[in-house]
Amino acid sequence: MKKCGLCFLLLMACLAAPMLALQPPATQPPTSANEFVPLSEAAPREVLPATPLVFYAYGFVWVTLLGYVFTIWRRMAQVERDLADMQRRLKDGGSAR
Amino acid sequence: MQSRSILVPVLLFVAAVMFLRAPFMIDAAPYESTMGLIQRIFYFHVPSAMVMFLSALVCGVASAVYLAKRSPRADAVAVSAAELVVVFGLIVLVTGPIWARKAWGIWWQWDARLTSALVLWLIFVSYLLLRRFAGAGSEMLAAAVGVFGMANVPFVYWSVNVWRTIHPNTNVVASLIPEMRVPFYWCTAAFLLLYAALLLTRLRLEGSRMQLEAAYAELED
Repeated sequence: MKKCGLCFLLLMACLAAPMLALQPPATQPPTSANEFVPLSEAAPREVLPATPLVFYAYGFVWVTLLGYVFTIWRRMAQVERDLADMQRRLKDGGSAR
Repeated sequence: MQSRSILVPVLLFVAAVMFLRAPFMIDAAPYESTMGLIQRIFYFHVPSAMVMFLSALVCGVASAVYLAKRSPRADAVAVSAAELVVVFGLIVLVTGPIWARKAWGIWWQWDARLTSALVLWLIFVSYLLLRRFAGAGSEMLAAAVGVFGMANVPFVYWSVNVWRTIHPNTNVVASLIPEMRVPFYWCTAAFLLLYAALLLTRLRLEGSRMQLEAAYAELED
């Protein structure tokens, strides 16, 4: 009997939990201010200057794009050098035959 | 061939003129009410993202053509576009956090837009790594990765509208006032011209590489 009662209580708790969870949270009224703090006395907040960040962002864009153009130019020069060398070797091989 | 060799310098020249004019137009645009000066990053950040998406689509379509037809030209377009996804994606992923640091107070947030953009970029980095290190026959595998990368683009684009995120949604560009819209589209056009010039130049490099490989093969025979 005691066991049945415990099971009943557990069942009720299980059923009640979702119902309680669905209840909207009790709204807390805003607490009234005890005092007004002047801005000059408030704890310092982080003030991040925007100008250097904008400068870094635009600088990064230009460095990346110019760096990429430089890598293309370097790779192009290398391939064209290899190609010219290869064509010379092919010509030499052809004339040797 | 002659028209193509003139096209790249012309594109680069027009893009350079537009980029030289862009800072004056951006400077004349009004400050955004909550973000102020830091919002100016928008004029390069968003066009870079648009070019990244475009390049991912170009790579995906070229990869699909390569898988279907085994066309070496499509493969050259795919690898060139993939490289540009990584370049412009890097710009997006660096300028974004710089903007976020001031606007949101944090460098990075693992939300849907930022994370999916990072994943997209990593897919194309893996594409390039496959091409570089996977050896002969890696073109096919890389092409499959390219198609998969392209399929991610819509998810990244609409992520801000579907999931809760701190990133501004896609309506921001459409709702720009004319004083902000004109410099924005100006910068977008400049980035697109630069992209076209870089893609054509990168394709020329790939063409020279193919010629070199053919010459090697001829020498071995």
